[in-house]
Amino acid sequence: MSAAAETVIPAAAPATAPRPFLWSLRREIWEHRALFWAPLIAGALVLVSFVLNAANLPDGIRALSTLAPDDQRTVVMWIFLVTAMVVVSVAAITNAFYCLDALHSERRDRSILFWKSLPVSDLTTVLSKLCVAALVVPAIALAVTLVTQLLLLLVSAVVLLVSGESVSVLLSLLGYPEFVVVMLYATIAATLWSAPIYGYLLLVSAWANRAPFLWAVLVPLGAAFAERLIFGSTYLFDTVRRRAIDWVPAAFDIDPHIREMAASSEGMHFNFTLPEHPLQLAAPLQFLSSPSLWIGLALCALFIAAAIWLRRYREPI
Amino acid sequence: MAVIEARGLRKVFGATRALDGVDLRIEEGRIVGLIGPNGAGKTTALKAILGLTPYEGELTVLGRNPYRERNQVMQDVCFIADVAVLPPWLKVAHALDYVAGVHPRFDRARAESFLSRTSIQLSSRVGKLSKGMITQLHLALVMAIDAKLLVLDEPTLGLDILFRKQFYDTLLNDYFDHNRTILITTHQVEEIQHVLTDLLFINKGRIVLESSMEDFEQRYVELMVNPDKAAAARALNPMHERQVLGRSVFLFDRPDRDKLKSLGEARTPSIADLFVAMIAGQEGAAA
Repeated sequence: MSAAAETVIPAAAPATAPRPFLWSLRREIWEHRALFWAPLIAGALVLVSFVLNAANLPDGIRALSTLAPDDQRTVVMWIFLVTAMVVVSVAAITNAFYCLDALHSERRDRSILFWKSLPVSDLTTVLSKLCVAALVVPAIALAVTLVTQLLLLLVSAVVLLVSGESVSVLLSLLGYPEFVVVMLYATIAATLWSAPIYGYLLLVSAWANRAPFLWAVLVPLGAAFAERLIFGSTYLFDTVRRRAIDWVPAAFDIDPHIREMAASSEGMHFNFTLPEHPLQLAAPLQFLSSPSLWIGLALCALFIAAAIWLRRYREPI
Repeated sequence: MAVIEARGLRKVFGATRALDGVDLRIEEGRIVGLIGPNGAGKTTALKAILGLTPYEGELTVLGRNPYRERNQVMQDVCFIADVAVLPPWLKVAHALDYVAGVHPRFDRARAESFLSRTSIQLSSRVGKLSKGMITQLHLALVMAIDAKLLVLDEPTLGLDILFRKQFYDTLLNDYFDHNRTILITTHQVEEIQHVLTDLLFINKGRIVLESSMEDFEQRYVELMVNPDKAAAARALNPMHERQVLGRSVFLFDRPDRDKLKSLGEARTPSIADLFVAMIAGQEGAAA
């Protein structure tokens, strides 16, 4: 009997094999279009403000050309760094809100009953949401950053050519390809480092029946406050803060440069000189051997496992 | 093969027994109506069958435990849980893409042909559609899936009578065949009488009637009598009596049909009337 059934089914079935993970990813992007728009708008704003100030560019370049080559490079790179920071910050904030919404909105609008009526497991669903937060959004942020930076470069070159200024300063950008590699490394490091934050937000999203944002903020805040009151310590607060920003010292060997900066900062416009080869700063071995990274990843796995469990075994609404 | 089989199915929420020892068996190729008053345990029973809630007792769906083996069971089971659970941001074309992408037995051309009979545009978002159109869309998606078991929980709630009629006609003419099994709950009992092959009454977490429609038609008789013969009819031990326009309407369980004919007009009762008679009778016995 089962043999007969098996011969009938393939005839009616479409030729393509089901790809639940891929389609779950697409589903997320259909629902959360802000994941694309927010970084794009941030990049566009940086570009627009740069273009609006393009009239000052020739003067700026003239001032810049009086500086030493090292400092020239640092100034130009700082502009690029700030561009990256604006785009990445906007992407990170959008990402946090996405995580809080990801497993909550489907319960709020009851569409979880539709998703659960299809053969897509809770494991696939939750992992696809994590994949959006930890892979898709960082990739979007990096791509938007690179495009914005290239457009900045293009605008500068055009302005300089039109105003008859020397484009020799732009030669300091010969290190740009290396800078791109550094940004790629930084993106990966920042994502891995902050993985437990995304895992935590997804868990709150799966757990809270209402106001996931308040729960996500108030629970750690309350716990940190209680710790301060009861033990007089700030361990929790420090841990969360480190998780949010300390990926830079964890992934890059910047200590020597910071010391140098402290020693030679008088008269300098910038307090951090980028070395000629910024890739030298990258410290992947130090990063990968840091216990904090692995503890964070283990925590993330724990949070995600709990989120899968909640979506699977708790009553849908 | 039984598509659904339950023995001593129980589910307790605090002090309420939502399911209090349900035994049932649903065979392949049936269209079963699960009918009961609010709070009788219908939705809980469906949730258990769909692996959405834990339970006590034995339950198999297509030979598997629906709670523990939900992922496998859902390969062959589809359901419409309620109206309007399609998310408002979803575009109709994306809904088709998604289901085609994840379901091995979805026939996209079929879904599109269902949709072409409606006024739904592929470029619309669900949020812009009317309630009736959302249900049509959901139905078009589900009916294009070659599932062994389709569960419909109040599929026509909030729809006008035109949509409801269309819904059941489509279900019967375009979807149902004898390899498929459909389990429906609804409050609009009259509308599904001609659709069903089997009937399940549930009350207070228990199955109080499990019957095929053939048996139902042979077993129950509704008799309408003039007042002068009411006493004679009452003597035949009817299960229920009500007054309609000055005449008495009696409901009999396995009566002697020849005797009834001499008293008045005999006919097959509606499911709704039998339901009222049985549930009201239970309430009376409990009081």
